[in-house]
Amino acid sequence: MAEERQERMLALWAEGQNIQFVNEEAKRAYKERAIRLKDAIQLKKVPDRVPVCPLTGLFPAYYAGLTIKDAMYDYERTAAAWQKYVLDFQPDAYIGMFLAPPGRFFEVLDYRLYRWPGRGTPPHTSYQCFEAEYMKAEEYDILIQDPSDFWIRVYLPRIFGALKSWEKLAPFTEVLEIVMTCSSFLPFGFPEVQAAFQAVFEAGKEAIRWASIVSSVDQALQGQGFPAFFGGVTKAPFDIIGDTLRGTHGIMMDMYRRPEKLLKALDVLTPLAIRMGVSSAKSAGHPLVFIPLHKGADGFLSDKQFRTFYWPTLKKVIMGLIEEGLVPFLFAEGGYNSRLEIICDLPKGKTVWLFEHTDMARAKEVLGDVACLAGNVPITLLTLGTPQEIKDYCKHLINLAGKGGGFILSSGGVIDKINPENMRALIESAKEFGSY
Amino acid sequence: MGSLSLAMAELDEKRVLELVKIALLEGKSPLEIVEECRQGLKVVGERYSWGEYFLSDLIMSAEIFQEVLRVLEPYLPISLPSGEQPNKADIVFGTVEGDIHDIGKNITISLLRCEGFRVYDAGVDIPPDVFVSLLQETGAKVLALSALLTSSFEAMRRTVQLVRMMAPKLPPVRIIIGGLVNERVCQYVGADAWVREAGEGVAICRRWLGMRVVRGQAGGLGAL
Repeated sequence: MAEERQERMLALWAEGQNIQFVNEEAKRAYKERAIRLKDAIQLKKVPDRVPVCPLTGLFPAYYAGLTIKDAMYDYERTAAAWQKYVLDFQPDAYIGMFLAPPGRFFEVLDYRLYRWPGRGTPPHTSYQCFEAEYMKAEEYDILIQDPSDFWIRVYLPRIFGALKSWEKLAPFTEVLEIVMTCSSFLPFGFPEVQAAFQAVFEAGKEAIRWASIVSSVDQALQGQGFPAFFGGVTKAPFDIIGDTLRGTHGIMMDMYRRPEKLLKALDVLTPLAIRMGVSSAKSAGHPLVFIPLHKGADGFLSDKQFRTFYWPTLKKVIMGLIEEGLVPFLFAEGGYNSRLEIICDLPKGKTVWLFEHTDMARAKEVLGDVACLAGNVPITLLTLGTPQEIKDYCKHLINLAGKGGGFILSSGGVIDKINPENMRALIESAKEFGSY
Repeated sequence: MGSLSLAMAELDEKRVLELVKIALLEGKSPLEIVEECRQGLKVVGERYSWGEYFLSDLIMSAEIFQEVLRVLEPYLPISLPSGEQPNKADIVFGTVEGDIHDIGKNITISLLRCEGFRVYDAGVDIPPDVFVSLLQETGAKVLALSALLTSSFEAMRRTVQLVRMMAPKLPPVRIIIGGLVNERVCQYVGADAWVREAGEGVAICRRWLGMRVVRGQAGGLGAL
């Protein structure tokens, strides 16, 4: 079933039925690129050549001469920058403008979780997460009992200054009989709660303004023959808690001090992580679901901790997405050398693993029969190397990881500011050395 | 190794705290207790460096030590031992301008302090001139720079250049970089060494500064 669903999802996506192509040539190019990716992913056929899809973060903005502040505030110029990058460099798939999130939206809500240009970082530097314990150690039971309620009344008031008063809201599950209804609505009459909703309405308008531009970029680029690299997004349950709820320090303590609570919370979040991946991919009509992996990398957790806390629920998320015909795209940041034997326990041709510091020869050996590999031109080489050095690296990598298909040439990490000639070298390498 | 050091090395939080309370009842001095814990922390660092322990274990060990210090706090002497000046440091450690990552920095500082080094934690997003002033104020012989963004390479480079330029006014300083770095980045920014993980960083500082005499006093360990 999963097999047929995936085939149907990928085939529909590669068909590009809902795309308004600018001409027949664009339609042909779109299909050619999408089929190249489909073949690399499914491990059934060797594609015509190695697809190349750099993991661009804010590179398009830098390339167009924008500051990151411009990229987060001037949506139109950012949209033009994104198109310029794709049309100038012609990757096999592009990563959308969603990586330049809307600054004004976050200002309206007084967002505390990140620093961004003008709000704690310089104009030319990327936004960065400000890790803290946004969920306290003793709040696991609240999360476990009712995750949505936890998000609305505990978490959101902490990460958005403008929503502080949502702490005063009542649980919606108490709206029952006629005589048990009114009291849940009292907080909506408080001036501070009404002010919070005003901020939400304003943020909503801004989000729509931004999203419509993001979507116009997608339509324009796809119409000119370039598939998007990803459709949906979700996270590993361990990272949901470890990145933005408890923080690295918090979750590490929890493994020792309250392992049962942590395991229970991970279980509770698993179906929600699946739901997020499924709904985002299905609404985009694109089966690839981007899953950035953080705290399970080599060195962070012991083998036992990885097998106990990280992998079981991540595997459930992966399998839940596969069940729906989707293709989980795991971006394994850092090294995954000690995890390869564990993660290879997956059905064949259903996932993509993009590696950063992982030994690609070993990855091909252990995982190559099961999953499409991607990566891993080092971000340091792309930033400081010469075009020739990048080509040499890519040639070697293609020979190694590209053998027999099942490989997408990409960067090992997210590309921000690099010499455009180095980007060109990366993309040309697939075309020069990647034909089968 | 005593049972307290052993419990610390095994990251057995409950046992460590029990043993600390027993030791206090037996009339052991808080400084002796801290020293025993430190012995255990040293084992944790060693186990980490050969791959038996992981980041999670390092973080847990630092946390247990904090707990111990909380228990001992009422018993610890407030004044620093004679000859110890509060603003002197062996190492100035910070994340470079424009970068706010601090997890790697904090863990490495914990490990360095376990080894007895005096580390001045400059914090994150630190401009080059602030690093230079801190080197002047503390007399530190090592500058440790952390960066996790490619866009921070420039800030690291500017910092190294400024430190080199100000060299005549500073004690001899060696510079180590960590985080998203490698040989290439090291050459580009002009640092003396680079590391990707905390254990290597400690080993390099040990080579550069020599083993520090273990003082075992609150002044050297209190901020772990």
